[in-house]
Amino acid sequence: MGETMKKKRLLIAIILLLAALLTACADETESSTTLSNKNPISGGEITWALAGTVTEDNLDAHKSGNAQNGRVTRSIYDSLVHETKDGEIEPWLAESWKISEDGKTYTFHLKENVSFTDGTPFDAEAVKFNFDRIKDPATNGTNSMNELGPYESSDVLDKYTVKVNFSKPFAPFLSNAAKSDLGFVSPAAVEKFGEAYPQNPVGTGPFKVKSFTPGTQVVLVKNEDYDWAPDGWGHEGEAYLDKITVQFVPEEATRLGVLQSKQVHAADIVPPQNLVLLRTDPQFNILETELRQINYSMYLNPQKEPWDDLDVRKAVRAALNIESAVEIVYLGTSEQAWSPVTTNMNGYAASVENSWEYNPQLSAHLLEDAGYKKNADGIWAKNGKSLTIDFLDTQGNREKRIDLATVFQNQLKEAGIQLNIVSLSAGEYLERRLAGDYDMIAASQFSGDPDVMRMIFSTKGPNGEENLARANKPELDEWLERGYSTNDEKVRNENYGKAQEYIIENAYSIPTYLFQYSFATVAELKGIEFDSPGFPVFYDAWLQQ
Amino acid sequence: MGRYILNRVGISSLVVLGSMTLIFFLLHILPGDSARLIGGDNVSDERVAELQTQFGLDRPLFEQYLSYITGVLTGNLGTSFIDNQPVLSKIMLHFPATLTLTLFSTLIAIVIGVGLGILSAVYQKSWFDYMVRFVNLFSISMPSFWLGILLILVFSIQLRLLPALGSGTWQQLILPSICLGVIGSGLLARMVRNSVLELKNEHFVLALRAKGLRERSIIYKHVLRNALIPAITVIGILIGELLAGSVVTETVFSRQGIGRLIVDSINQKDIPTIQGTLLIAAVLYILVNLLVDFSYAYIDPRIRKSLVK
Repeated sequence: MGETMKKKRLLIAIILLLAALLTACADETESSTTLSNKNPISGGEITWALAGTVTEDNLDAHKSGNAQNGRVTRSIYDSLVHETKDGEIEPWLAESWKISEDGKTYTFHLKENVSFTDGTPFDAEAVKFNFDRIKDPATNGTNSMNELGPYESSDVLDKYTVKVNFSKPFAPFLSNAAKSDLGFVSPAAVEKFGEAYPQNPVGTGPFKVKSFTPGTQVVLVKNEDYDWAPDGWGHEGEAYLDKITVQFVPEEATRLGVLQSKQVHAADIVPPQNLVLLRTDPQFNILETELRQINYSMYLNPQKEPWDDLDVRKAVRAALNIESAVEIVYLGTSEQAWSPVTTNMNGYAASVENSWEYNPQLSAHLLEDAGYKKNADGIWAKNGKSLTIDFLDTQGNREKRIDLATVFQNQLKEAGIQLNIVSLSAGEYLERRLAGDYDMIAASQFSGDPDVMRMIFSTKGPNGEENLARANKPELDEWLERGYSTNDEKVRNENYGKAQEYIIENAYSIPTYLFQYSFATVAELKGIEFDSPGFPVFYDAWLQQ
Repeated sequence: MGRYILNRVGISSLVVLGSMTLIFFLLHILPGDSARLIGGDNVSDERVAELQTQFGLDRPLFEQYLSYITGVLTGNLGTSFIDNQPVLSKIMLHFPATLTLTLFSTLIAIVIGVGLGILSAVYQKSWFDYMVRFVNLFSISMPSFWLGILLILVFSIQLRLLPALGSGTWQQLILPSICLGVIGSGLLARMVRNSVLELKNEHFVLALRAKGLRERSIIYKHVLRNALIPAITVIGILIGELLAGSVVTETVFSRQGIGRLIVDSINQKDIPTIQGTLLIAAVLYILVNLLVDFSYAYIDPRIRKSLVK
């Protein structure tokens, strides 16, 4: 215990020292500029250093599956409805809507006089075109397809009225419809550009794409005709900013460096060591929001020996001091997660909190009972096979996930379990994932609705039996199905609660940390908000001069 | 001379064909089904089959190989799996940034490398020599991402002299060029120092000294010219490496370029783009080495004469 504490302190000290070195010589004499105006003003251009890279296909709302793309497309595409942070659904492109008694059809009355930035009018035909496009396998929609659930068809009732039909009741629909994944692309632009549409994106949003260099940057300019902002936003009419240059800066030291030297106005996903320092610096603002999502969690493969044994899975979990690991890696900027989903998700089951603990004795005990003995290297072994976890990864150190895995590696080693971090290219990773050829895998999945659990935990989800958790239990499938097929909030929460408890009881998921999405800006940049899943909204943003 | 050139060009073409073949087969034996990757996470088996037909991935491998080779010979590098753009136009979009970076960093490597190499040979075993050798060792062993971040910290963040990000303006070119140039200079300086030292004791240098020529003109007129031949080989290798391999530097400085194109396409298993980019890199590497061979003949009259015979 004393030894690990010492190690932990040393590690924190080193990280803090490095962080201090990084900023030690920053110009401290510079007085902060006197800021005159307090009310928003129009005009101004900003540059945003985006954590991650947006490549060729990623500006197509329906194709992009990654969070970093959604953070950009939110400014380009509008949605039918707007969801407030409290989960209230408000009108946006749809003025009003009606849900049928059986919960299978939604009739939307659309705002008139809305148009895409290429001049195409936004109408019922456009809604039908978009939803059909998402369901067309040729579109290769990933998240968007899942978010439409059991979508069947759309009927155009008149120019501004559209009926959306599902084969089963689909409760998450309105919340999903508020996200940029179900945003609207211009049918005329898709027709015109065909396969090259993703490089020439056109939406109805407050900003439009002026130029896009895949892998490098995208330049957004104000949509001067914009007049259909949801009521929940701060003003009406066009956005304040003239131009947003989004530069893709995956390297975190560079990203924060250019913000601190004010070469850019904003940078997102601030590394913990910088977060701690920037919070106290009056020259910068830090916005933080907890994403609504499936937490980044570890999934031991229960279809593969020895992880099919619940006690072995529990032994691994008990050997992990997650609280300490999260503290070491995120320096107190994130907290330990207990459930598969984030605490702000509807249906979050607080009952799973503290339902397991770090307990190396329990871990050893469970393994002994399962017939394991320690070998000469101090690793548990049974029938000549040592307890080794091949952990597949393809994303690298995004959100310091490899650092976290490395801390886990040390903790497990102390408990006599070997963890190998196997870094693979996306292709090889996918192949092994689908084939079930791994001991452990980990992922997060953003979404505004607990229905997202189907993607990870249900054989009836989009990934079928190749879902990440591979629990493949009929009762789990059923709870998750009941969860989405009713609009009764109570019934939904009850089923999602059961699912979460079951998943944790059976150690099908080992949740790690609650991710705080951070968005740092220079103090002069005001008014940035987040949408319901936690993506930045620039509509009300303005530059103080 | 003409025959020599023809000979070299002939051999080089064979090397290009060989690399094309190697690239093609290596990419196809790599694990990971392209069609499945293109289809995304939730793709059905039918859709995978459909994509395989669409991109010709269901044809026999040798047939795919033949059509690839014929395509390249007619100037068609194929179309990307990801966005259906011609691979050549994708490469042309990213290439200028890499080319300028390569040229400038090579220039910096030559100025620093040759300069320090000569000086440390001239002042052999002085404190200056030891310092240069130490610095060289440092620059050879320094990873480029680390030097890159350091340069950004000092020149961009603390001193606020230069931009850290992007590509396009000359200001944005300076830091990444210095980063790669300094790293390249280490090897070059060592090479130049060693050859100058060797040559300093050659008979012809002794003869020049005996004639009463000043040491300075011996070094700069006679020794340097001879020392350049191995240096040019190193410069050739350096240019080749930079053209294909500024991946890390491009990422640190968020620059556009071939390196990032390769990484992005590897991640998406966009075989035509990987193939095309690697091919262009191989051709450039071979081309640069060809030029290096020719420049020997230009610089060294002995080689030229032996060729004429």
